[in-house]
Amino acid sequence: MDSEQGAPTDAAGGAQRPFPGPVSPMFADYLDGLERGVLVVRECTACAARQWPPRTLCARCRGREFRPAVIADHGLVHTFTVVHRGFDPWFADRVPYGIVVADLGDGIRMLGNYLGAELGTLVCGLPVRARYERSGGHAFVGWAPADTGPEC
Amino acid sequence: MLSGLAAGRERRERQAQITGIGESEYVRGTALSTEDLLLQAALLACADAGVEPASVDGVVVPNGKLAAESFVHALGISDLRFHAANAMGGASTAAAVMIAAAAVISGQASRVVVAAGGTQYSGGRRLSSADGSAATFSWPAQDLRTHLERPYGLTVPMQWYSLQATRWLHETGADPAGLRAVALAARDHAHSNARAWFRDRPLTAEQYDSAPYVVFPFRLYDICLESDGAAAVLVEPATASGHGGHRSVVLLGGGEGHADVPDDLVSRPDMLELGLTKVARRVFAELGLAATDVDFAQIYDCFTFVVLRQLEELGFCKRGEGSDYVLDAGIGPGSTVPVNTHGGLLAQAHIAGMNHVVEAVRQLRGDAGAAQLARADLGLVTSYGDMSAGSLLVLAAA
Repeated sequence: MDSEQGAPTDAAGGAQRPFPGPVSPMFADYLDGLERGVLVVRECTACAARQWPPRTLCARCRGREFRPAVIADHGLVHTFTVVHRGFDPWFADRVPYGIVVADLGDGIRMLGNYLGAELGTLVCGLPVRARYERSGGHAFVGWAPADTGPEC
Repeated sequence: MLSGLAAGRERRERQAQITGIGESEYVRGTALSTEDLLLQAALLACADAGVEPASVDGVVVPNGKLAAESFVHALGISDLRFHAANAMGGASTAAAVMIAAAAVISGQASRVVVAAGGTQYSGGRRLSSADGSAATFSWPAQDLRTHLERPYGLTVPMQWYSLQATRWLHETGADPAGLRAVALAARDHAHSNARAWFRDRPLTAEQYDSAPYVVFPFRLYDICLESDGAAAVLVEPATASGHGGHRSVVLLGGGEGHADVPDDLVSRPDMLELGLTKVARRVFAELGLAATDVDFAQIYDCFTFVVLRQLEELGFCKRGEGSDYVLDAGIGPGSTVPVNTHGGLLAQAHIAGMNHVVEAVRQLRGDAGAAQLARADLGLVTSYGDMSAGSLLVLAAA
């Protein structure tokens, strides 16, 4: 992912969407998954426990070796917020925007922006599915209502 | 009951007391530095305690805002025996007072200054700013912040806690009107405090309701002030005889608490759990007290929602009933257990919650001026920060 820093931006000279620099090795498989349009968590090679978010040690067996595991990319809105004020230059131009915590089962929750057409439709328990966005040469996950098709 | 808790030589040897309090000016706009403000507050705390600053032998600085060496120079400390800095965001303050207490009870130090605050408004980095400067603050688990949150526009504490607030409203069916009640009560208390930024500036329900959402479900007046200022306390063993001529204020107990998955709200199995959930249960059981026994509560109020949740976890009411509690029993002037008699972070100033500790001491001494409660023998103070870490102090007039 570090090699993408020279990629074309969507707003030359303007603010860039925040992206980690440098990328932590523990997150490399996850970020690579976003590039391919899949959600990748970690799985302990010793005990097969799923791990999210990435941590140095496995919480079950203290193992330190992990392999990537693709998970289903749909779930339910566990909670959300709608942001009306910018706290970052890139997002300041995009208010109001929604932030969703999607519960994907097996104790895994992931955060992302709400990609539904209307912020007013956002409620806890709403079925959502992952959608993948690109900005500044990087991929990001977002959450759209599950009943919207991939081309909406 | 109180005399039983605070009295007895054997018990006193395991307790600390707060013998001095100091506060700088609380303003929005200053030419002073964080160092200047912290040292000023520390010197005032020594003067209030009636001790020579040079006799201080311990320094605790929440979040390490200033190096202990700076206190050595400014106070003229000849033999610094103990220093510590902790890192729990806003929750560091009450926890730092407990570190100081542990130091004097164990004999590692005899006079420990704890100073908090800084130039939150004028220092060039505001959490409310759109310039992204919040990203330069030191948060726990920075990799989670930079890889999983900031790319989605989640940058500041009010956003973290808004995720808990939405879940709280959904899961418990809590009444959102409790948020407004906390905001109005803070302003009501502020009228009795000479240092309060919002003194003589009342807030009406209509003004609250017509203010815009900043981060749903938080409106403008659900969010605390950003301030410049510092406050400090001097902690000594409970067995030390006071020199300041004040009523003695004893730390009966306290401690810190960290929720499950303490650095990640998103993945916390019970997203509503707080650090205070654990420490309150522990401390009240140790003391044989309940939260409802106190005469006042100074509760860390970075956001109105955080007050409601802490009231619930302290045990004033059940989870989901915080709004009912503040709407029915009340927390304003004249209520059974008034909350934040100085106006708090919402209406007095954001002094990292050390202003809550100072106000608790004033109440217990009987020196709180127009805000003085008729009965103030037992009180509690909470601090709150980062991903809902918590700390708690229980104090009594002895």
